[in-house]
Amino acid sequence: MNALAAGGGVSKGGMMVILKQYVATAKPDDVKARLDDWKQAREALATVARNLELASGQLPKAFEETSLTTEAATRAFREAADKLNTKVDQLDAAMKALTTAQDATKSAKSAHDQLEGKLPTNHGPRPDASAAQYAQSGSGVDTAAAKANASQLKSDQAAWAAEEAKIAAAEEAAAKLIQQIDESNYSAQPPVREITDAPDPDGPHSAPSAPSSPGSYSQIAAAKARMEKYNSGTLYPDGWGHELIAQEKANIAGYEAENKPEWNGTQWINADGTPAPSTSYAMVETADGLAPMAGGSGGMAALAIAGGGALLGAGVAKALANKFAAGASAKAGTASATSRSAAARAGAAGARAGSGAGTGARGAGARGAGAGAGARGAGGRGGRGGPTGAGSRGGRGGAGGAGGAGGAGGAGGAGGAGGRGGKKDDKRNGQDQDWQADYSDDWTETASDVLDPNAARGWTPNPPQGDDADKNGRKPS
Amino acid sequence: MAGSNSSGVDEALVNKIKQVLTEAKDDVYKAHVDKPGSGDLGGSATAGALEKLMNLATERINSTLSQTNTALIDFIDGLDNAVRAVKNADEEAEAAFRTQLTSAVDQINRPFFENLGKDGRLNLPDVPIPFFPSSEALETAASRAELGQDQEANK
Repeated sequence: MNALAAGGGVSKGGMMVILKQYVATAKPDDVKARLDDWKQAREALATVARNLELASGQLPKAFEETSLTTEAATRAFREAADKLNTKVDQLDAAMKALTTAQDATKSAKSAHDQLEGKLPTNHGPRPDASAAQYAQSGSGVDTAAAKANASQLKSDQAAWAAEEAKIAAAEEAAAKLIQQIDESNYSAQPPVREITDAPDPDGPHSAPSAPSSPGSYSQIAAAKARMEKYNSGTLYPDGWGHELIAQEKANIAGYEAENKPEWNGTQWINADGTPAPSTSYAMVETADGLAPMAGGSGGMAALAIAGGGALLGAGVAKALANKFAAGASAKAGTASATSRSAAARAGAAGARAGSGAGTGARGAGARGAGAGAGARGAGGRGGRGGPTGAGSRGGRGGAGGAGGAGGAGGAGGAGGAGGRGGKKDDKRNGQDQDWQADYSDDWTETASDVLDPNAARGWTPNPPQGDDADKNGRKPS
Repeated sequence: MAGSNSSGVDEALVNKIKQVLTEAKDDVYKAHVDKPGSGDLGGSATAGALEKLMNLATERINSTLSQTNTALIDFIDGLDNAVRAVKNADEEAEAAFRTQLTSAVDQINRPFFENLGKDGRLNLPDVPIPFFPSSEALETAASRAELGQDQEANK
C-alpha cells in the first residue's frame, strides 16, 4: 500500500503505539544527570550533618568553663545534624526510586526500538482465496496455473500469519513494558512526595495519580457521566442540553473508535471493558499519523472517509481525523474484526455489521475502514465496505453507510439508527461512491470536506472559539 | 568568673570548628539542583505526574540548601558571639548567640516540604570566563562573604 511506503511506518498494534508515546520523549540519561545534582545536594547536606556532629563533640572542650553556653550549642548542633540526616535519608530514598523508574524507562525504550525493528513494514489484509491472482479457474488459468496459484496463496497466507504473529508478540511485550513503566513511575512517587508534600495524617500520602494512563474506558465513563447531567431542553453556559448531549455522544463514539486500552488494575481493557490486547487492531503509522491497517487507499483518506461516512457532520469527522493525525492511539474497536471478516464473508453479514455498528453508534472511524478493506481483500469484487452509519448523532446522522457490501456482493445493509441513505453496492470498487450522502437533512458541509478535512476548499468551518474551545470545531449554538 | 587572663574559651579550637563549618557551608552554597527537561521522564501520565513531583522536589531541595546555608551562617556567627559573651566583650553577645542558635535550628528543622523560600544563592554557570576567577571560586567568595566574622572583627 502506498500509504505505508510513504509513511515509512510499520504495522503495529495499539500497545506498541502507546509504548511509543511512553518512551518517545523520554531521556532517562538526562534525568539521571539531574539526579546527580540531587546527589551533590545530598552530599553537601550529609557533610554539614557530619561536621555539626563532630563540632558538637568539640564544643565542651572549646568552651570549657561555660557549661551553659556549651550545653545549648551542643544540643543545637546535634539536633540540626539529626534533622539533616533525615533529609539525607529522604533524598536517598527518592533518588533510589527515581533511578529505578529511569532504568525501567530506559530498558523499555531500547526494547521498544528493538520490537519496532522486527515489525513488518507492509502488512495488509489476509490474502484471500477469491483474489484474482489466486484464481483457480477462468481464462488463462489452466491446471498448472491453478496449482501454482493455490500454493502461492498458501505461502502468502503463511507469510501473512507470521507477520500477524509478530505484531501480536510485539503487542504482548509492549503491554508488559507499559505496565513496568507505569508501575515503576507509580512506586517512585511516594518517596518523592516525602520531599514535596506534608505527610497525610490519614495514612498514606494524598491520592497519587492512577498507576496507568487513562484509556478510552475511563474517558467514555466520564463522557457518560457528563452526559447524564444534561437536560436536553435546558440552556447551559456551553450551549443547549441536546447539543451538549449530542456532542458527548460524538465524543464517546470517538473514544470507542480510538479504543485506547486501559489498565484496570488487573488487566488491559478495551473501551467496552473487554480484555485487551487483541491482535485485531493492527494499525499503520503513516506520514499523517495513524490509520487502521486495512484502510483502503491508505491512512488519512481512509480515515476521513470512514469518519465522514458516519456523517456526524464534518466537525466530528474532523475532530476524529485530527485525533488520529495527532498520533493519538487510534484503534478500531473490537467490532472491527467482526466487521472486517463479515464483509469478506457475505453481504448479509455486511448488513449485520452495518446495523450493529449503526445502532451502537460506534465505529465512526477505523471500523468502517476495516470493513472496507475486508471487501477489498475479497478480490475487489464487492464494493468497499461503506463506513458504518451512526444514526443518532446530533439529530443529523442519517446516511449511515451500509455495512461492508462484501465480496459476495450482497446488498448493503441499512445504515445506523437513522437508516437514511443506505449504502449502494458499488461494483466498480471505486472510492468515490463508497457512501451515499443524504442531502435532505441540514447539511452544512460538503462531501469533500468530509472526505478530506485537510484539503483546500472555499468553505471554512466556524473558527474554534478561543483555543480549541470546542472539540467539534464548531460553535455549540 | 572569667578574668582578663583566663578567657575560658579555646579560641584556636573554636576557629577550627568555624573553619570546618565554613567549608561545609561552601559545599551547601555551591550545590544546586536542576529540573529535568519537559517530557524527559516519558510521555505517559504516570511519567507526567512524576515529572511534576520531581520539579516540585527540585524547588524544595534548592530552598532547603539555601535554608541550610543560612542556618550555618547563624551557627558560625553564633560561635563568634559565644566567644565574645564568654570574654564579656559584648553585653548583647550572649543573647545574640542564643537567638542565632535557635534560628539556625529552626531553619534546619524545617522539613523539605515546608521549604518554600526563594533560593537566593549565587548560581553561576560553569563556563570559564577569561581573566576571571573560576565560578567556583566566585561562589566560594560569595559564600564566605555572607559570614559576619569579618565585619564583627572590625567593630
